[in-house]
Amino acid sequence: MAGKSKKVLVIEDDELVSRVYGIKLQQEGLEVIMAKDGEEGLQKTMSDKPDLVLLDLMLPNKDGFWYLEEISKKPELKQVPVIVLSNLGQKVDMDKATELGAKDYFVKADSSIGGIVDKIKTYLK
Amino acid sequence: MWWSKNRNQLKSTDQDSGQEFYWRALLENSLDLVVVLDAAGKIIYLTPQVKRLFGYEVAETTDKNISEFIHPEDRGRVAKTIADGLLVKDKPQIVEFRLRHKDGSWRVVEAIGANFLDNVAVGGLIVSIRDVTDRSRAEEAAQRRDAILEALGFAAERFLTTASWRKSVENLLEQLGTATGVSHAYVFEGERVGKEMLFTINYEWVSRGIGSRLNDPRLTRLSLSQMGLGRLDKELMSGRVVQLSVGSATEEERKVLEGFEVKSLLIIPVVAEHEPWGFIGLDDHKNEREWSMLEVGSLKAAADLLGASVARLRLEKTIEEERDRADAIISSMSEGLVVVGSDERVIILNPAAERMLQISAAEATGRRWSEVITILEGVEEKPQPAWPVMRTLKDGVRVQVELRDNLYYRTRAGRTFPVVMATAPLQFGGMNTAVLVFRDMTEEKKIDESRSNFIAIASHQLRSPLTTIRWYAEMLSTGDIGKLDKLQKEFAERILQGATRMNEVIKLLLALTKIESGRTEMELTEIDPRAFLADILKEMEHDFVDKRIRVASVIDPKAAQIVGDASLLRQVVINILGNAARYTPAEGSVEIRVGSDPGEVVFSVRDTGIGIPDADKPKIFQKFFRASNAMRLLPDGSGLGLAFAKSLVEAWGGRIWFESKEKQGTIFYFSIPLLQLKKDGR
Repeated sequence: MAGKSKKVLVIEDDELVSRVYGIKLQQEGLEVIMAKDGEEGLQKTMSDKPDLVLLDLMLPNKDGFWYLEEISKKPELKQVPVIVLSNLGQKVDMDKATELGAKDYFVKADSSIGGIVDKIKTYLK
Repeated sequence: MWWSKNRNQLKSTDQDSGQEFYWRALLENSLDLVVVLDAAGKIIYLTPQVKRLFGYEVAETTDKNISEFIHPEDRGRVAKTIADGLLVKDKPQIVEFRLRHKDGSWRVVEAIGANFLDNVAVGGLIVSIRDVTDRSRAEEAAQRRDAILEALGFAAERFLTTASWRKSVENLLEQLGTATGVSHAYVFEGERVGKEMLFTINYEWVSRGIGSRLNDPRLTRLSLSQMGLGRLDKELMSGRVVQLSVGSATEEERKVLEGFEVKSLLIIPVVAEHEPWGFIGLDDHKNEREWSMLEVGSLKAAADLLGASVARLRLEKTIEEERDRADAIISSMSEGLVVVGSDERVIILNPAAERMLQISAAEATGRRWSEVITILEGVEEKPQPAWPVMRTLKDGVRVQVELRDNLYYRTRAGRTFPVVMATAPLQFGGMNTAVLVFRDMTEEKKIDESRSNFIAIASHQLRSPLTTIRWYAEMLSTGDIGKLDKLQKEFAERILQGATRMNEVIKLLLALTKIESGRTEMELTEIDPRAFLADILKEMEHDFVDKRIRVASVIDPKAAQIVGDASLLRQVVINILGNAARYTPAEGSVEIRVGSDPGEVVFSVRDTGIGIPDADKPKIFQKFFRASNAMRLLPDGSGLGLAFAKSLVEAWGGRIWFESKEKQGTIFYFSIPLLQLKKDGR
């Protein structure tokens, strides 16, 4: 399906943050879908079949770890690369997320949005 | 008769003359003195041996009463013997008494007498007298020595075995008193008051009929010199034996002796641990005595025994006090204390351990330690050989377990609690044991967890708004949401810089908090310093190249391999190198050395920078502190970098220090202990 833009699912409760993702990713020609918590994220992962998921960890209701666990239980979803973007900078959190299948981990405050977008593009190639 | 030359009144017959010669020859060549007395004790005849034995001429003693030569004390006894002898015919009587030599000395004699009063030929008492002074002295001395030795042996045994010191001393005195036949045997204890010793009678033995002196106020805290016995005091203090008799005493001393009804005394100093302690003394209230060397020596031995036992008693008391103190500490300490024997059985369990482990000491002792508790690591049972106590027993090592090691004790009753502990090998009762001290960390664990949550939450809550600031400023400055003019772009960039710096400060603060709360987890790996440094220098290339600072690194081949936590080490090196780059002027140089010292690897970073002013040196590792010249040069620093580096270095057991001269440069050093501790308790 040539020409069809790739879909990125952003699971993030902080609107100020998701807005930045939205602008930047759309500027890169990507389609952006938003979800506000783990549960909504899981639903949209199943319904919208994104090419990449940007996942925050501290989320209301079902959090990012829950999402990762659910995804790992579903073989058809396992293939979707998940990049964790969180401000939980502790090693335990990073290790746990990686263990649950996250492809990459960024501490938001330590990263520039330009750098993150570059990284996303490499996963979508 | 053969003595008719002297005593003509005695009948003599011619036919006796042959016999007379015979008797004379026998008697006059005898070793003993033979005396013939009349019924009143008058000397009728005596043989010439009187000259050899007692110094008298025959003429000057004849016709005198024998009692004139007998010691006044013995006269009654002798008279009684004679009287007894008068009643019994032909039965020899033996009596020992003292006879005065012509030189005035008293000789001890043994006399055997027989009644020949009715014998016409004799008409008197025939007494054979033998000087037994030497024999008597030897016998007496031997007897006394035996008695004294027996006393000493007895006393020594008592001192070594008995618990009652008073009883032992009193027994010793009784033995000595009886053996020497004195009136009073006693021990004075001294008490030093300034330069003088004051003596108090504390133990005594008195012979029958003699009153106790224990409560005599004159003998309580007495000063010998003030009493007029200054000579005694001096002799005693210099450790010598003192003998004093009424006869040989000075006027002043005699008065003192008479005041106590003492005729003779013998005092022997008692020395304990090379210090005068008191004295042991013997009084004779009846007779003046001369003490033989043997007696003095034996009594000195008694004094030595006393001194030694005083020292021993003191030592025992000290040991007992130590033991009491140790007992008190052990039973009152809030930490649990357990001693486990080499057979892994519990020997000691203190009250705190009883409480925490929910088992009484009586129930626990003798049981295997593994029956008393189970150790969990996290939620899994830890294999017994890896238990700290078992490791200490097996390898004699000390093991330290900290909160982050995540160990729990589960009691027999089922209670589980987090513990910290330390174990060490201990020689106890000749056995290799392990002593364990532990603490219930339930409360601390809660606090620790909440602190840990705080760190997580604080870091998240501070970073979220910071992320927004940072990204929005970034998008403004990069023109992603519309082009800005030059000034607007600069402002946006300032916001971005400020946010980035703030993020760095927050990161450092959190890292510091984490280290200080002991939550830093170390992952020990082998690090090749060459590759490690090359990696860091590549990352920091710009910092140095931009200012044309030359960087050199020298690595001691002996430090080719380091065991440490690479990420922590990296943070420290980056921190110190970062400072070197920041505070070294353009065209300067930085040298990194990795050297090997005994027991540790030392990193050093030398720069040709601004240096640290002397006044600022003591505070350089304080949080938020910045040297005055550094602050002028770069107002933006956080003042946390070195505090952070120090915390990290200390977290792995190393040291950090520096040498610096203002305007010339600084060398920062830090060390990594060579044998990176294996994680104990794991």
